[in-house]
Amino acid sequence: MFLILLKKELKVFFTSKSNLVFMVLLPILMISIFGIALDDYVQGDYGTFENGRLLYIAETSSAQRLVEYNRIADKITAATGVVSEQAENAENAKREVESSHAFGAVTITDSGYEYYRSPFNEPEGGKLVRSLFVQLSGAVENAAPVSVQRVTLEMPPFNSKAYYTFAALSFSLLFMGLLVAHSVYDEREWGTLIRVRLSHAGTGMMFACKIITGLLCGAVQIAVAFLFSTTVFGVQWGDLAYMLILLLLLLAALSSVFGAVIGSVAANKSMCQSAVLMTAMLCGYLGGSITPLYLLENQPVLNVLVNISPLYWTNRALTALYNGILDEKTAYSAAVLAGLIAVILAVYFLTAGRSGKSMKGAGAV
Amino acid sequence: MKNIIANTMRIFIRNKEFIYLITVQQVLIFLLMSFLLPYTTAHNVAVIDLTADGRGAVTAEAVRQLDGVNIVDVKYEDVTAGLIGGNIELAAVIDPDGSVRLISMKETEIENAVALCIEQSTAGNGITASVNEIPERGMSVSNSLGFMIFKTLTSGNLLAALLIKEQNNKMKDRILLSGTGTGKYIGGMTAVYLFFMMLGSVIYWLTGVILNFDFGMRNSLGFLLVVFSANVLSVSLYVFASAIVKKEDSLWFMGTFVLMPMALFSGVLFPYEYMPDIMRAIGACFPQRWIQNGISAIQKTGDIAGALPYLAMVLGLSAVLFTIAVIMSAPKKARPAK
Repeated sequence: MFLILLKKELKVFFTSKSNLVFMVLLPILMISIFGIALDDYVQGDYGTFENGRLLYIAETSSAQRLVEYNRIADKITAATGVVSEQAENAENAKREVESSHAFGAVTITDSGYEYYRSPFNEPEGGKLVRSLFVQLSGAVENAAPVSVQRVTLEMPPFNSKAYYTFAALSFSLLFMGLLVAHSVYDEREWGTLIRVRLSHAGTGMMFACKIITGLLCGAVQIAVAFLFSTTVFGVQWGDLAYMLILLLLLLAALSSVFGAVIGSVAANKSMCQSAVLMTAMLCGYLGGSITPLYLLENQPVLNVLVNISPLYWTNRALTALYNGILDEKTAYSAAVLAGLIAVILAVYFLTAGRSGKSMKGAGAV
Repeated sequence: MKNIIANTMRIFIRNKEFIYLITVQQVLIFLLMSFLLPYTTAHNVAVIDLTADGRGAVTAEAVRQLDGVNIVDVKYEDVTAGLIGGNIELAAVIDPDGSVRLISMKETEIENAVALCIEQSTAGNGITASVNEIPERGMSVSNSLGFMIFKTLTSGNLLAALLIKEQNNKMKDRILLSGTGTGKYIGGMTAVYLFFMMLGSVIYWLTGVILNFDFGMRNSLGFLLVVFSANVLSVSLYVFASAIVKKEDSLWFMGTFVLMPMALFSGVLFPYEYMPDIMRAIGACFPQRWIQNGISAIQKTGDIAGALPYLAMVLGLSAVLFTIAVIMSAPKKARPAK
């Protein structure tokens, strides 16, 4: 009976054009878009000082003060490329600063400098230039500078294409839960659930078939991502590829279980979709599938919140495995994924047991 | 039209899930995301003071005082791992003799600025520079803007679901048979839905104002105005979708395969400025970009007028989509028998 049900599930699932498109195109699209789009961003080339200008208004009769200002401005220009230009008057200068045409405006007076920054839209480059200006104006010219030595490490820098091969694939696997959720919900809506209940199979067997189908769908997504990333992006999965695949399959299992449970309890189809999509989006964000993990880990509150996303653990482990490191991250990730699967199933069956049925009837919109 | 509005209002009020999904969930997600999304263009720098006698304290403090730089707490032994993982792009290591090593994996755009800051860090007591005071700001909305636009645009799906359901259970036919025009029928339902969506946007904006969010603009009402235009586009988009698909199931396809890629290309989920030219050219054609541009224009120019061209584009597209949807949804006239 189980095999018959599974065969029927696979036939229905894999003959649906939209399911096939979802399985094949989604990982390719995500890996391509994320990998290419964030290439410059992860390099840190933000154009921080691009087209930067520092305006000045001379309201002093002291030539010495102007010379001092130019000395500071020249140093800032040499370090950042931000140029110093004289403004017509203070009002014009303020207007230029507030409309993002200049980083700041310095009024040079007999008693010192008055630096004007925008009260609402000062850019990062402007903040840096202002800090430098304040510091340099307080520095004595002939003081001995601190010695600075530059060291460049001979290592390949952070690579967005390799990172997103795994991060975007794991995100795509979470979305796959939607197909399972739909499939389960449809059974309720079409009334086939009642017929299954009356048969020997029971809803538990059908539930298991849906989850296995989702797992197979995940396996197809992993295979597609493997072929695409190695042939198009030249990403080598390395000696630990088998561990990468195992971890990804575990994630696919979690996604299927979650989708199946949502599909069986959602009051209507929109809620079913929203629940899976929003969970996937949240987990994706917190798990580093959209925003690189290092950005999340550098934020004070966020570096704690990321722990609630299974994708955070998975992506950390996948990145380590890709770099050839098999350590406790992989074990933690496997434990989190397996634990979540067990918890979701336990909560579902306990709740279903109390209410006396394992799947509720479909509600109306 | 009044009856349609009253009926739709009744459906929404009776079915609390609608209010939750359209208004409450939207606000909760926006607020959550405002705190969660960390996209920033501040450079990550680590400062490590290895001096035993505290002589490096002045230099370390000078770097920490740099605005526009995000100081990351990293141990000396973790510097290489931090650079490889992207957690930091530059490490300023103050050696026991007071000299500084600037360690990176490539030349970064702020390296010279940090070097200048360090070189001059111990040379104090020159001329003072005063800086104008600005009000303290809280969380920046810019971090979550992209996600908010994406979520706002997909928030119209329940309206489409409702329209499709009424079409399929013949409720729509009965309403139209009573003499109500298609435009009035769809317009009435859309107006109620739009009201609840806008209510969510207002609650989010008000909460942002109360929590002192940094809208990055002189008058944050401009932000609300642009979000309203996104609300209008969302309902129009889904009214249009309801006219071209017959089953509620197909709506998720639109969210996943149409709006999501559009959002990705428009840079609303990650920084548009750093995307390759070809992706930016594609993204510029999508309304998500126009909405984002509208907000950026107000932030940059400090004037709502800067956003008007983008608002016009968003509202124009909404009007076109809505009109097409109404025409497509109108009952077909029966051909006279030959």
